[in-house]
Amino acid sequence: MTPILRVRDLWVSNGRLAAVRGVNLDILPGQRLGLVGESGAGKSMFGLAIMNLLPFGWSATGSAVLGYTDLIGISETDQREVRGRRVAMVFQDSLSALDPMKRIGWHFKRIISRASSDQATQWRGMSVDILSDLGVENAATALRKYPHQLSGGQRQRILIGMAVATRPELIIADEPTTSVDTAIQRNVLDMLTAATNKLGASLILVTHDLALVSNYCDTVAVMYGGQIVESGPTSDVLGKSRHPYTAALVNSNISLTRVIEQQAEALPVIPGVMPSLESMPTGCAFRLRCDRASSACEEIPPVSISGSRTLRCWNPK
Amino acid sequence: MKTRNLTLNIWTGGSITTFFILCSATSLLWTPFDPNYVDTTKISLGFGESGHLLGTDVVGRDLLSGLLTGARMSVFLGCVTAAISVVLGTLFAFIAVGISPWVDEVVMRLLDVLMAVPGVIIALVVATVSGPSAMSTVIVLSVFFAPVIARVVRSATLPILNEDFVQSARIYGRGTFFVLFRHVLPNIFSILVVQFSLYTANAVLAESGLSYLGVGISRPQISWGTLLKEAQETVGPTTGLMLWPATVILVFVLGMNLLGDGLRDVFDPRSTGKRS
Repeated sequence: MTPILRVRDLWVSNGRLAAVRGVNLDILPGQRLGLVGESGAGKSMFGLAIMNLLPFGWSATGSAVLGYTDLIGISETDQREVRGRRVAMVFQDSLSALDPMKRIGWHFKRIISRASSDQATQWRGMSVDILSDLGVENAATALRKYPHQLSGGQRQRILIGMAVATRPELIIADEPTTSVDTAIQRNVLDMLTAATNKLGASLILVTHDLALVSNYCDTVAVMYGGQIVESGPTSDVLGKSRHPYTAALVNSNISLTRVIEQQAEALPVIPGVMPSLESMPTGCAFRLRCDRASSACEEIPPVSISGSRTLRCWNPK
Repeated sequence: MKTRNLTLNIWTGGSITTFFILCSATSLLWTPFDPNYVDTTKISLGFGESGHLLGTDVVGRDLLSGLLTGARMSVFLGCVTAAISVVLGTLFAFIAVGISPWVDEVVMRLLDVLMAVPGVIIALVVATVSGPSAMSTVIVLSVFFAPVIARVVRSATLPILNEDFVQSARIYGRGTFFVLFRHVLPNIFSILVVQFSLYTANAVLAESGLSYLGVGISRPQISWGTLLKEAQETVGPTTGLMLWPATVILVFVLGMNLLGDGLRDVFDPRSTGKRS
């Protein structure tokens, strides 16, 4: 199957520092990819680079081909054809992602009429359908409300509704459930995956929650220091991790039974913190925190590919 | 408690403002006497003496008529100046943040320069060149106020531009100026309303000051500042002459501030509970 998004050697830098350093990634149609990493791993910058929404001063090089369009270095006019129509984004903070001075309906109206002018008059019916599908009760009433009058879970559903309203091929969800509690988290993700399935769209789920990834994603890519250190089918990467960082991440994932059995201090942690962009070590970005580091790690490890898995490590498990 | 204060502010501020607007309108049609008519037989009259409700000044001009005519000039000048300043200030701020960080830097430093020049000096120069008039007062005060408002607007705009809904609008192909006028403007509208009311009050005060220095409004046109200036020459024997314009200015400024506070709360849907 041809990938819907093919990212090759993507770099994001501000001229001095690089936040994303040579990312390669393929997403197949309908596939759900979990992009995992600590804060500062470059996963959000990756998403912004795809959307061409990098902060001022940052620029991307390399290529990210969606269908036949390279999203990197795309012209502003072509950009409008792609952003919001073929690629949509679900934001993290549902309160901040909706204009507090506009009713929910206004948001939908803008998006739908922008996407296709012949549907502009039917925006109300379309948005009611979309929201009802997502389990928003009284969708018609919800459209007349202001964002602050809705609950966090409802707002998150509305964001998902806005993302799918233009029937995109790819949806990037940047930590879509960090602002809602666990019970709603599950529900929101069920809705998100159901909505993407219905469209046949692919999903990039940017998160640091391995449990979510293992439940909802077919493939996973683990990012560290701006690079993808390990990727492949979710069960393989999380079940039989080969990169020491992935293994440590999986190992440090909190499991309630383990906490009860072993006491809290027995929780395994990864020593140290992720190096800042200024103090990124030469060679492998993880080597200073890695228990398997050797002198070979002072060189940047090459990407080794076996089947559907990729790995960037000199001393894999 | 909150609702009570809210209504109280709007009602008090609104009534005071309406009262002054009515006074201004009345003065167009009718005043008890001609405010500029000098009657040397009736100088320095007290309360209500021979039909002059608030008395007369040292050359026998009716004070109440002066205040009514002055209201027209002062309220008009205040509102026009504040409106121009808010519009200019908002435009400057939007140009600064909307184009690029470089433009931002240049515009804001230019506004700093404007703010560093004392307004009174500009006023004196403009008045000397063009002669003291209502027009020159409005121009001078707007030039003086707009940079301050631009700073307020800019600092209110920057956090909004960082919100996700702005990113979202960009995703759907909206340009910077769509974002500024359709997203940022409604969100800072309450701030603009407050700025408008504050600067209307400020402009009335500043205009009084300018008239006092003789570069604002002068007879035959009358503003509250003109009356204040004339009154200060005879403080002591005729303190009432000074007291009335001063009180009127005070009440008007208070009214505008209350109204601004009240309106700010009304314009912000987040502060009014259910509105669906």
